Formats: sequence, structure tokens, C-alpha cells
Amino acid sequence: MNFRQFAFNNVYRKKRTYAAHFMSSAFSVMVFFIYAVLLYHPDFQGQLASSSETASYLGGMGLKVSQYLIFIFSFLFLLYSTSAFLKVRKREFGILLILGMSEKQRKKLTFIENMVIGLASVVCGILVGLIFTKLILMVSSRMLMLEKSLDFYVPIEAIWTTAGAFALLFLFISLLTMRIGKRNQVLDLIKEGEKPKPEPKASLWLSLLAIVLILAGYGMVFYFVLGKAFYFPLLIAAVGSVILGTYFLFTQLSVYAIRAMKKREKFFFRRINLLTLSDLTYRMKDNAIMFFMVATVMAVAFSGIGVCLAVGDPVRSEKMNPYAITYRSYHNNKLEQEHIKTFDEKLSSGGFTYEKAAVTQRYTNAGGMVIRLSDFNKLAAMLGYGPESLSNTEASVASGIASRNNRSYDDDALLTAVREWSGADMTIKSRFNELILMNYDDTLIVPDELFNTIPKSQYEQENSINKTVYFVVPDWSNTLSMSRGLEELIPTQSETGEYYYTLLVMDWYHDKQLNAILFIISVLVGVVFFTFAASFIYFRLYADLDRDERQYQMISKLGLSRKELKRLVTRQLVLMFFLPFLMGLIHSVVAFINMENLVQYPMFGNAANIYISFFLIQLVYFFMIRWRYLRHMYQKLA
Amino acid sequence: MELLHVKSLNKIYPGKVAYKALTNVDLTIQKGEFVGIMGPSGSGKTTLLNMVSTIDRPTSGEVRINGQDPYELSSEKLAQFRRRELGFVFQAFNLLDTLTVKENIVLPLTLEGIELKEMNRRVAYMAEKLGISGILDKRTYEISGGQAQRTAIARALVHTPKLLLADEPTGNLDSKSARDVMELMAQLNREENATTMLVTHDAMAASYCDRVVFIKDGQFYTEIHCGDNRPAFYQKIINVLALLGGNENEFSTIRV
Repeated sequence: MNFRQFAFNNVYRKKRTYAAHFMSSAFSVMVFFIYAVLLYHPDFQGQLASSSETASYLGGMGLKVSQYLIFIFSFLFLLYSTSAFLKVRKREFGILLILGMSEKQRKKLTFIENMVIGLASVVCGILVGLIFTKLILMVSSRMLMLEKSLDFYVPIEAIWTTAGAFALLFLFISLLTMRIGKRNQVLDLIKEGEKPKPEPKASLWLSLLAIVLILAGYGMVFYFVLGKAFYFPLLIAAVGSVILGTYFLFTQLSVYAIRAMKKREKFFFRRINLLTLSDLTYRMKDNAIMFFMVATVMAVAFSGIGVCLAVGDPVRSEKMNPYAITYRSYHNNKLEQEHIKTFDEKLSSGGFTYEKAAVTQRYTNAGGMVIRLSDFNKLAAMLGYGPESLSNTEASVASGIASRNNRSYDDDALLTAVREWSGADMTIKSRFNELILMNYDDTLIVPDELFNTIPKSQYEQENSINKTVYFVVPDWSNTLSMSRGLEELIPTQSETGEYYYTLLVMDWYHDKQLNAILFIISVLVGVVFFTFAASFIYFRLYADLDRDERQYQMISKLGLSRKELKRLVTRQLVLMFFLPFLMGLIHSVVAFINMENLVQYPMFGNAANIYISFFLIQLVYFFMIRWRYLRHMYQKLA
Repeated sequence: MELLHVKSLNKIYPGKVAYKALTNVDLTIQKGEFVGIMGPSGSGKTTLLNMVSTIDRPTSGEVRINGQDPYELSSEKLAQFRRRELGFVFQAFNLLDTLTVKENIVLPLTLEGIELKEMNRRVAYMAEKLGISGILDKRTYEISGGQAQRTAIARALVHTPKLLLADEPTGNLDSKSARDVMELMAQLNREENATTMLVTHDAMAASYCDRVVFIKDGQFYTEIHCGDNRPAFYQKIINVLALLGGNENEFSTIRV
């Protein structure tokens, strides 16, 4: 057996020890590869470019950015898992060094090992990725609603990029790990695991600083949004301060909190609290950093997916515009009746239930729009709002987009305009902030009799809008093919400026095209980040398994029942799995609140979905790990 | 009154070649007695102790502690039985390195859910007895082997178990610490009336017992009683060990 064979066998015969490390490496290779396949896909790029330039641009950018992100995280992750492995194997190194292995040979051993694992995982990751590519392409074209499915191709370019990038990465990590082991003395290597790590130092000031930093970060974000201080460095400062605060929260405040709990003897010395708490302190240093990373990663994943989902949500389009078809007709439009008839026919033949209402509009001399109360009530009824009634000296206002968003109302200007023609003083009875009229400016609603007395203003000309017909179709999201047919039959905009109309589903479709890429990216990034987070936890447990095993064996001799062991393990795992999750959740909730304020659109439906699905996945993962862990322990304790 | 009653105990380790570790061993320990188990390596001392301490299950035969057969208990009850009725002292101390000395000692009490005041009282008492009051807040890696073993003894006795089981408690200690520990155990046996079963191959340690039982090849060999004179007892033990087939150089040459 020469040295290379020894190194190779060391990996090959300890498959189990390396399995987790290998699998997560292969996983990150696979995800990177799938990204690369999407990025280099010729069809994908071509068709996107034709349907929307922005989408293609955004998509390409997004993929590139997330690819960098994935690369950075793969690197951190691989470094972490490699060092965790080296830690497990330190004793073995100690023995080998005592037996006379030279420093050079040890370096060679770690180097060869890492390269063997690295190359194997690159090959495996690419192979599995290739198998999944077909599936991913099918799914993504589905989600993108690209009607021509993406072709499967053998992505030579993607393979080269992935293989090259990761070969370099593994080479770099191998070189780095060779340096890591350098400082250790043989004695330290052998005694590794016997000597407890010193408790991390915690200072009250830094603990308080953690809270202050997080609150300050939140405050800055709120100021950014509510104070409309759209100043980019402020946002960066806010994110930085929250991240730093989270770091101190886990490394300082948690230690401080556990110490405070330990001081309360009545609590500390009750049943298994003693074991739980002292074990937590013992591992706090390792755990703190893990908690911090997992919490940050989760916060990023939550917010990212949340934004993408919100942007691509069909309900959002409906929120902006409740009408499936909005047809605007000008005074000179002679085809109106014909067009409306076509809409009716198309909708009925498509089997859709629908309602429609026409609104005639006139103008005051100041250019303000005026509509009839009865027209307005018809519209309101269609959307499910109650009718309004007005006396002869009263009027209502339907807020336009501008005043609705800014909440600044100029009632006097409207009243002045009315007085001009009616000669009577009117009062504004009510204001509707709901989306009922899709106009930019405020629209005055007056009683029917008064409406007829409006003198013809300078704004009422051939080329001003005379009438708008609104269609409400409850099942509008399925009208895509019908709408396509309509667009072929009637141009959406007449060339001579007699009418134009918009189809909600088409707007939604275009939005979706644009955002589906964001969606795929966010889901993929979410999956990757989640797996990274999960693997962090897994490695933490894995590295400590031997020590835990010995410890539980000891305690069980003193009389620890299985039930108590289970409770002990459950507590520790719950903390590991759900504390960072909770922290990520809190951060992202703050992010969502602010996004909601920024875009005036409720985020929490989507947010709740994300939280629940992530929580469920995490829960399944938790039960799986606990089951395996306990089974292992039960076997050892017999 | 009989505290431990072992009757025709057999243990066979199955395998390609089944190994018979214990054959028809009988042993009775009276309440308050301090009994040593000796024998050459591989004679089955530790196997016997493991059977009594309910860590390992006998192939056949009967073990009764205080009239109770622990092997009839469910695993849940067995854990409770261990922490209420039994105390353990091991050669490797088996202290938890995440805990301080005091926390190690109170561990059996916390698992049982004893009142805090009572816990502190008992720890203070045991620490006083064993002379470790000064190191109660130290971590396990900061104390010496002798202190660690005394901590382990305190932990084994803090819940006043019916039976204290010690597996080579002096094996990891130098002769001075070993003697201190044995004197303490003998003292606790007298003062606390702690029934003790001690497995050892150290004649010096065994000489602190009231009675020493020898086993050889998994079978009862002989037993000798202490009487009044400890040096004479020590000599007797050495003689039996020589008869057992060892050679004298193997044994400690300390003259007491």
C-alpha cells in the first residue's frame, strides 16, 4: 500500500463518515449546474427576449446574481463542513502523527482526500443535475407560461462552467484546510474532544448593543419607508446593523440569558434543566455562529421569496384593477355597439359569467370628470359595494389613483367647479377610496338630474372619452385564450384614436412572464438556502455525535429513562431547528411590513404561506433527524 | 437482612464461539456489608457487577436487590430503580465535563426532582464528608484524579442508595489517592451504613472490605473475611491471589 492508496482508501472505506459531506457538496454542485443550464439555454433566452425585453434582462441578471450568491454560499458551506470533518478526525491525525507521519504527508493526505471528495461530488452533482434538468426545464416553462416548451439539450457550456468553478473551489478549499491543521500540536489533536471548550465571554454591554442594533436597524428601515427617505446608504446601514445585531444576539445575549437562567437555582436544578442548560453553554460558541448564519440565511430566503411571490401574484393585478375588460370609447367612436356585442359574444361562448356596466362621463370647465350617480351605483353593485344616495345639493367623490395613494384631497376645487354650472352650493357627502373608477384624477359623482344640466365644456370634444364600459368576470384568470382571440379580432387601440381597451388577464400574463423568472430564482434560492441551513444543523449534530453518545451512556448508567432522553434530545433539537427560524421570521416580518407600506399591497397572505411551508418542511426535517438520532442513541444505550 | 441476593447466575456471550463469562454464581450481601470481588483479568468480575447494576442482562439466574428483581421492571421503571436504589463509582470517574463538580453531584437528585433546599443540604453534607467543599464550583477538567473520584463517590451516595457499586474505583489513581478514596469508602460504609460491592484487582483496596469474594473463570473460587486485623487480611488476600495463579510481582508492594 503506497501513500496515495492509503489516502484513497481512507475516503473509500469510510464512506459513511464522508457521506454527508459528500452529499452536500454534490448538492451544491447540482444546484449550481441547474442554474447554469437555465442561464445558457438558447431557447430560453430567445423566447424571453421576444416576449419582453425587461423580463429577459431581469431574468438573466437575477440568475447571474443568484449564481454568485450560490457560489459564495457553497464556498462558506464547504469550508464549514470540511473543517467540521477535520475536527472529527483530529484524533486520527494525532495518532498518525505519533506513528511518524510527517507534516508533509499529513498535508498530502488532507489534500488528496478533499480532492477525491471534490471531484467525485462534481461528477455526481453534474450527472444528477443532468437527469433533473429535463424535469426542471419542464417545470420552469410551465411556470413561465411559455407555450412552446423548452427543449432538452446537453448543456456542454454549463457542464464546463460548473466543473471548472467547483474544481477551483475544491482546490482552494483543500489548500486552505491544509493550513488550518498546521497550528495544532500533536497533544491537542489527541486530546481534542476531552477538553471542554472555554465558555464564550459575554458582556452585558454587547448584549444590550445587540438589542439596540436590531431595533436601530428596524427603525432605519421604517424611517426609510414611512419618512420617504429613499436614501440607499440608509438601507445598507439598516441591513448591516440588523445583521450585526443578530450576530451579537446569538453570541452575547444568548450566553447571557443562559447564564442568568443558570443562576436561578430553583429553575436550573429542576429535572433535566441542568443537563439541557449546561450542554447549551458548552456548545454555545459553536452554536452561536451556526444560529447566526442560519437565521440570516432564512431571513434572506423568506424576504426574497415573499417579494417575488407578491409581484407575480394574480390577486395583485386584480387589486390594481378589478375589471376584466375596460373599454374606453371616445365621442367620435362609431363602432362602440359592435365592439361591446363582440365582447358579449366572446364571453358567453367561452362560458364565462360576467356583468358589465357603462359609465358616461362629462367634464367641468376646469377639466374635472363628472359621472351620474346611477352609473356609479351600477358599478359599485357589480363589485359588491352598497349603493350611495344623494340629495340635490350633495355630491360624492370617487378618489383617483393620485389622491388615493397620497391621501391628499382637494375638495374645494371640485366644489368650485360644480358651483360654476349649477349655481348652487353643494356639499361633498362622501368619498370612495375603493377602486371603483379606474381614473387617474378624482371623479365627481352627482345626482342624475343635475348631471343632465352640465353645460358642454371645452373639454368635451371629438377626442375626449365619452363612455367607459366595464366588464367584471369572476373567473377572469382563465380568459387568456379568449382574450388572445379578442385581441386578434379587435385591435386594443384604434389607429384613429376612437377607442382603446385593456384586458386584465393580458396585463397579468405579462406581469407573470416577467416575474416567473424571479419566482423560479427565488424558489431555487430558497431551496438552496434552506438546504444549506439544514446541513449546517446536521453537521453540528454529526460532529458532536461521539461526545453525545458517551455522555448519554454515562447518564443512562445513573438512571436516565428513554422518555427523559427523548425529552432532553427534543429540547436541544427544537432550539437548534427553530430558534434561527424564529429570528429569520422576525426579521422578514419587519421587511414585509415595510414592503407592504412601500407598494401598498398586502404581503401577509404570501408571507404566511411561505412561513407555513418552510415551517412544515423544517418540522419534517426535525422529526426525521430526531428519529434517526434517538434510534442511534437507543441502540448505543441498549 | 439480605440486600443483594444473586442465585445461580449465568452469562453467555453469544457469537461464533459462545463465551461463558459466568457459571452458576451465587452471592449474598447483607445490609451494611462491604464486599469486595476479586479475580484475575477476564474472570468475570465486571460482568458480575454489570449484572447486579442492571446494565447487562443475565442469560439465566436470579438477581434480587432489596427483594426486587430489577429485570422484571420496564425500561422506564428500571431507570428509576437505578437512580433511586443504586449508586455507581467507575474507574474512569464518568463525570460529565459540561457540568461543575457541584452540578455533577446533584445530577441524580435533579433527575428525581428533589426540592432545591434539600439538594443543597445534601450536597453540602456529602462535600463536607469527602473534603471537596472547596472545589464545588470547579469544572471537571480543573480537578485532580483523586478529587474526581471523590466527586464521583459523592454523586453515587448523595441520593442515599441501597447499594453502592464500585468498579475499580482506585484503578486510575496513585497509591496515596487510592488509599484516601478507600478509607473514605470504608468510613462511609460505617457511618452511612452504605452497603457496598467493590470490584477490584488491587489487594490494598480490597483489604478495606469486610469480606472478599474471589472468582476465577466465571466461577466462585473462595471467600475470606477480614476479622480485626487489616494488615493480616491484606496478606491473606495476597496469598489467595498467588494461589489463583498470578505471580507476586503483580501485586502492590505497599506495606501497610
